[in-house]
Amino acid sequence: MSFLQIGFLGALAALAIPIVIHLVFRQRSKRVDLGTLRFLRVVLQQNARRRRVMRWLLLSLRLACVALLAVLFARPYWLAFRPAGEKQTVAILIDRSATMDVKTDGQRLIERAVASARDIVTGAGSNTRFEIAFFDHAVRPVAEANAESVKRGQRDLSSSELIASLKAPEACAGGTDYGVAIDWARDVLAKSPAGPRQLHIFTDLQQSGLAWSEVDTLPDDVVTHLHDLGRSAVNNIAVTEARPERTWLRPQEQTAIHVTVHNGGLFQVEKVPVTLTLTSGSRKIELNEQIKLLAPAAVESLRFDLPPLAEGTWQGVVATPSEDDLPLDNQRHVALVASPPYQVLLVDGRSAASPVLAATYFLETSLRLAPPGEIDVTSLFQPRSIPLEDGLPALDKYQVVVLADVGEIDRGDAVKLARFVEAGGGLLVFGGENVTGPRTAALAAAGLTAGSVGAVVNASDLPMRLGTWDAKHPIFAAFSDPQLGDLARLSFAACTQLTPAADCQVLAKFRDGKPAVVERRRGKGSIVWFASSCDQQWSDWTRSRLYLPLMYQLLGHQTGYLAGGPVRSSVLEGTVELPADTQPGVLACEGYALVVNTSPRESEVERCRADDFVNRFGLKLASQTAAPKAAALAQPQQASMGAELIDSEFWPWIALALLGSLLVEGLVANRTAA
Amino acid sequence: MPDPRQLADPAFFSRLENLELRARGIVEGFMHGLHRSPFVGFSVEFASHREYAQGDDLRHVNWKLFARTNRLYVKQFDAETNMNLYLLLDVSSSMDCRSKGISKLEYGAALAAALAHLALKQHDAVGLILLADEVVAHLPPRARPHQLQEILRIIHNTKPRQTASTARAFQQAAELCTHRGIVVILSDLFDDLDALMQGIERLRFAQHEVVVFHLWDPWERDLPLEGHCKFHDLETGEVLVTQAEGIRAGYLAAVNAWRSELEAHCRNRAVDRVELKTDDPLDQALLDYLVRRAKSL
Repeated sequence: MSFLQIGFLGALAALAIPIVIHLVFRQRSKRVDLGTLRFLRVVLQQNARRRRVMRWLLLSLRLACVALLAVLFARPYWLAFRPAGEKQTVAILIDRSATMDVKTDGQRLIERAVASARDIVTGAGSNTRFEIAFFDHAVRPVAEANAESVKRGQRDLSSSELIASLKAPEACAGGTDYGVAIDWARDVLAKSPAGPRQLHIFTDLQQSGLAWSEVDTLPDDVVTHLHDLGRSAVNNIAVTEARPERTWLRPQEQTAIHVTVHNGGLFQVEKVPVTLTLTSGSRKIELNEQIKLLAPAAVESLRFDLPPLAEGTWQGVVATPSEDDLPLDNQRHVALVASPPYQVLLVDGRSAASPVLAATYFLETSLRLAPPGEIDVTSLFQPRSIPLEDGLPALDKYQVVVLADVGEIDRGDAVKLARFVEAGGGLLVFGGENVTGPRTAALAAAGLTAGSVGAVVNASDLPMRLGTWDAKHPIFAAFSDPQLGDLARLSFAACTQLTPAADCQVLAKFRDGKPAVVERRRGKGSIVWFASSCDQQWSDWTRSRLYLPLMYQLLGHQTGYLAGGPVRSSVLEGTVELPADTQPGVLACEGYALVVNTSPRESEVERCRADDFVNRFGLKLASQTAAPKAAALAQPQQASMGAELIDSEFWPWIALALLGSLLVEGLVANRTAA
Repeated sequence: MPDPRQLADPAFFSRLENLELRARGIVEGFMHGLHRSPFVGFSVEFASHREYAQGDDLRHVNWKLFARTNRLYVKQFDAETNMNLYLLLDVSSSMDCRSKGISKLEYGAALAAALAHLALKQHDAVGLILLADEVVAHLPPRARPHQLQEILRIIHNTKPRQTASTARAFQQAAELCTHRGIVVILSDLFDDLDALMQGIERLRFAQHEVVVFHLWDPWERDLPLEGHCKFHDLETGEVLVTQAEGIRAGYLAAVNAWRSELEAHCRNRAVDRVELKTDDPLDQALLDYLVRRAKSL
């Protein structure tokens, strides 16, 4: 039996409590003088044996209750039975961070690490079970990579399969996080069968990888072999930052890119050239700068002023063509998008005599951020308002279509809208007098409603106010703090009755529980229904300071701006959700460009001492430990804070036994004289 | 032991005077006229003459007066002493048990003093014997006025003694009770029942009327205790630790079984047994006894 939370076994010290109580109550007996004890003796002789047994039983039950409670919290589990000494478990962790690309004697460190790991696998006997993983900022077990074995239900790979699977990555780019690697090793070793356990770590002991996360120590019986592959001195000139002032700008707009260059080597470098190269189709921009002197451990900043950029996506690198030991960080990828703002088509469903009375008047004005006919360059949206009678134009150039008080839409236009949403466009629908069940039949037929649409509901005595909203949803995240804007202050005189379908998500509700904002995903796009109008027909919220932010949030969500905009960036470190083996570069994703770079920490090539590494994670090196003791091998191990349930855990039985013990203790205590 | 002045408390004895009157009224002169003098012609005193009547005992005819007057006169006598009362007080350590402020020994001593006072008021001879492993003190029965003071002095000077068995003391006491009379035993009787009964049988064999005042401490009798108790045997020093409420039922059963057995032994030997607890009113206890005694005569 082993324990996941061995620390809770410290609670066994509480066993002293019933013993102390037992002793204390014994000392508190009252003295009574009697002329004779002959009658007492008669009684006691009659049930002395029974009473003695019951008292010991009572004490045992109380001790058992405390012990079971402590064991319950320690989460015990059975290890799979194997004859002692039959199998030993060896975990191998291979650092595949960017710095493992450094070469020594013409061979990359990662290749040397893999070769040494293969030697360990080859040299081991058949009674050795291996758990092998590469790690940088995440852990990639070799067994998981071999999908065929998993499909066959074979958990452990054979030595030959392991050696075949154990290949050095062609390029290393990730950051170093020793914490996740040690966590993984602790988990797999804790779950391993009883027997000797070893851990081999192949790494370059990069200092920057030590302090990323807190970890618990390995089980006591794990013997660690630390294989230091790093070089004592590494020359490295790195571009650690390339930051455009704006990644999304208007065509023919100018911007600048700020660049930081770091000398991680031991020697100063003179005349360091730095080049910015941007391309967009056949167009190319190349700018050159030079750093006159870069001292060891020094950082220099540069600024590249870009010329006006033509419309399009510009991507490239900032590079310093120096020859050093770590060429991966000699360049840093950048991307910019020169394009007009998001195109928003506003469809007005109300035939109003005055523009001010149009359903889209306030929405258009708030998006344009300028008087009619003018454009504010800082605005994210470029609205165009059309009456419903004109029919929908071609929707290719629009990112969002807004239906304001639109009821009886042409069926062909509804189908066109449905295709638009399927392809990734956003549809935002506001309520109004025209938005009722019968009138929105065409929208419902095209699958553009969020459930069923009912009649218009007018507020009786009190106005309708927003009661609850999903503060975690991107639309409302900006309003999670009421000091930034209390949406509950918005009031509406009426709303369109919405009954959400099963695949819809209610994002906000009125105080009486009626849905206020409902979202429905369709294809690659999204449909958002707002139950009230976007003008002054049912509310004067257009005058509220919350109107514009809420509209920007609604449209920002529909355009994808809230998710990061047309250019997003990421570095290979921490908990970034990127596909495995993602390499630095500019990735073309759905609707945006993703700039991936190596972690700037990887450019810090300072190494830590082996002792610091060992002390940081509480390892027991093979040089410090004699042959594993049999007793130590049988000791329980501790896994990480149990995120997963081990199959062989039996704490429910412990809980059941505890409950039974408490019941029996109560019965025995009531029937036992002290 | 309490001071003799406490034993002779005027208030208490005034209650005894009242008790005597009440007892006398109830039992029609129990102490004076109803119990028979055990010895014929013992301690008689001439009072007067009267003329002979047919049926008078010829032994009481005054023949000298007949010779002078030629008329038959018979002599009349006043009864001076008509009973010997032996008070046998148990002074073993078990009698030192006290839960209500007064020990069984103190209670028994007060009871003995009261009985002695009553008997002396009736001109009965009262003696005292203190019992432990053997007879500790002995005061022969006398009817003199200072006998009560002597009895109180002896009781006062007595201390509880560790006692293994009082059987031998009863045997010795039976030898000391030479004249027939009433033997009152004041004891808790915590002894081997057979040995105890042998001593009592010896008293009964000597034609004594035996009355046992069986003294209990309330804790001994009912065990009205709660919680964890360390019980000490005053006689042997033995200690038993247990929880009182858990064994009360069994304890009471054992006590009642012993009482029943004791009662059966006493009844078989025509011995009166009166149970008294130290929290019972002493005069009320005496009255109850006297009533029962009178009814049984």
